[in-house]
Amino acid sequence: MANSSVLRSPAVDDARDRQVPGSFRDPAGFVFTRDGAVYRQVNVASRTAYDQLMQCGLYDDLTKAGLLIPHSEVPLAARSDPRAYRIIKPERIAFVSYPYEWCFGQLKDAALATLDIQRAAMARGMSLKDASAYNIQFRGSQPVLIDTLSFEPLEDGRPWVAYRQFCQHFLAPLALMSTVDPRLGLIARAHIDGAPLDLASRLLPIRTWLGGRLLLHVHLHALACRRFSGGTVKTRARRMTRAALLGLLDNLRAAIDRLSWSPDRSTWAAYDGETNYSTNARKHKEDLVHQWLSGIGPSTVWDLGCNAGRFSRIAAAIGAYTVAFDADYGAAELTYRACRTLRETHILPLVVDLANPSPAIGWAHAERSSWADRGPVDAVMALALVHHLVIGNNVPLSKVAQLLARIGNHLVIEFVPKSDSQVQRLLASRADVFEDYTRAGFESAFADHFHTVRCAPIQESERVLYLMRRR
Amino acid sequence: MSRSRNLTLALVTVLFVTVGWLQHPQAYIDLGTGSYLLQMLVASFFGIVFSAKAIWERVRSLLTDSDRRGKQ
Repeated sequence: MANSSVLRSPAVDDARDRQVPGSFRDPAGFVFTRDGAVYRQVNVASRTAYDQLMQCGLYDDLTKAGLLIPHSEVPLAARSDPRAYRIIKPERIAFVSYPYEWCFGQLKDAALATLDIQRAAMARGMSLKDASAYNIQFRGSQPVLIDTLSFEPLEDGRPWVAYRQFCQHFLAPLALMSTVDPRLGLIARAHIDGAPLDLASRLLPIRTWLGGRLLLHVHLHALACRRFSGGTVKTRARRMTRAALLGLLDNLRAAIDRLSWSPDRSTWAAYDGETNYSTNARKHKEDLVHQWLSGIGPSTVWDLGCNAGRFSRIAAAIGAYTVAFDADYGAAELTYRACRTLRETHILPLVVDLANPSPAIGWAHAERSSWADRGPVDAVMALALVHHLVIGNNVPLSKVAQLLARIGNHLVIEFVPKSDSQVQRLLASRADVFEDYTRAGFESAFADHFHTVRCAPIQESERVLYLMRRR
Repeated sequence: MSRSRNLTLALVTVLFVTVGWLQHPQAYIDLGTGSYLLQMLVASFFGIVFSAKAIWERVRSLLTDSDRRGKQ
């Protein structure tokens, strides 16, 4: 069990080193940063497993397949920790995301990648000792295992120790998202070790009790866990054959494969094609965004309220790693599918509700970072967004400006006036108590935090686009 | 009803009985206990299916090969 003393352990006393707060559970090693670069310490305790990973061919297999993050070893002299066996420098992940921010397709691909990795590991005499969804990150649309120390030598006859964790982190949430509602992906935000199986069992539809893989791996699994927890069980020393383990993995894969979810014409997924832009206005807006972003040359862009990712693709096209956020699971799913089809490496779609973004969670509120704490980035795009926050969510303009100044050095932002049909639609069912929501009010609120670098009315519309730089 | 569904039903019945009956003395004391037991039971079943499939594939490929040789 981790405690605050771990965070102050001698291992991180080297003056410039900072242990990553979420990396403390595994005695095999931990992640730390030095001068902005990310490193992982391999402890002497995991020497055998690490050496086997590197020498048995598994590391090469997985890195070539894009399933494991590649790393280079750096001189041990870089650290004074006596527990250190090796220091490795993994390839950097451009943006760390969490399972409760993934759409259905992302969680499913992460699950399948985990099973592929386990199969590959078994073929080389190793096994995954955990199956945490947090160990998977995305490079664009490609899931990749980032925990190099997740492997251990495969012991003949031993069951897969990560079976329950796999069911909690992947199978149960996917089953809930598929059969009940995709928003149940947020269950991982409340339960950091994945969906409790008894809870998932209660929430799943009755028809999942009628047979099939969910009955085995979720319902009966939950029953078995409850039946034997806190009690004692008479067992014979039994061994699990290699064929049994492979059979189990095949069955889990079939269970994941069978789950699906497709967005219908949900509000936001349909939104991209239903705005009141003329063709010229849309083209003009795209040209302005392209021109302004090119002028900044950002390495990372956050596209807030990305819808179908039209402007994210413009940012990605100029070479920026673009994280495309939307509150709607349908919009994120469609963007992700398009990215998968195009093998897009520079766009990461995520589900985040800006009115209630991901908080910091886990041990000491620091194991998983909040959404805003993963910034700031070079540029933020907030296109056709502000009216939803101000009028749809009653957030004052000053608060919107304050948040955007916290997360971005540059801002490309669109002001949509009250006369616009989209705003009128928002106002149709509520009293107009938004007196400050005018162009002058908008410019005044943002002037406290940003310099306006460019400002251009969008042709054939009443909307105005701004390029701003943080003060 | 398909054969795989029959097999799954048979497995489920065995599991219900086993989960209901397995009782007492020694060993584990956490959520992992049930998970461990379930995995052993489920995997044993799927191991047999996996092995049977592998044997069948081998037999089929042998038959196919000898068939091809016969035609040549």
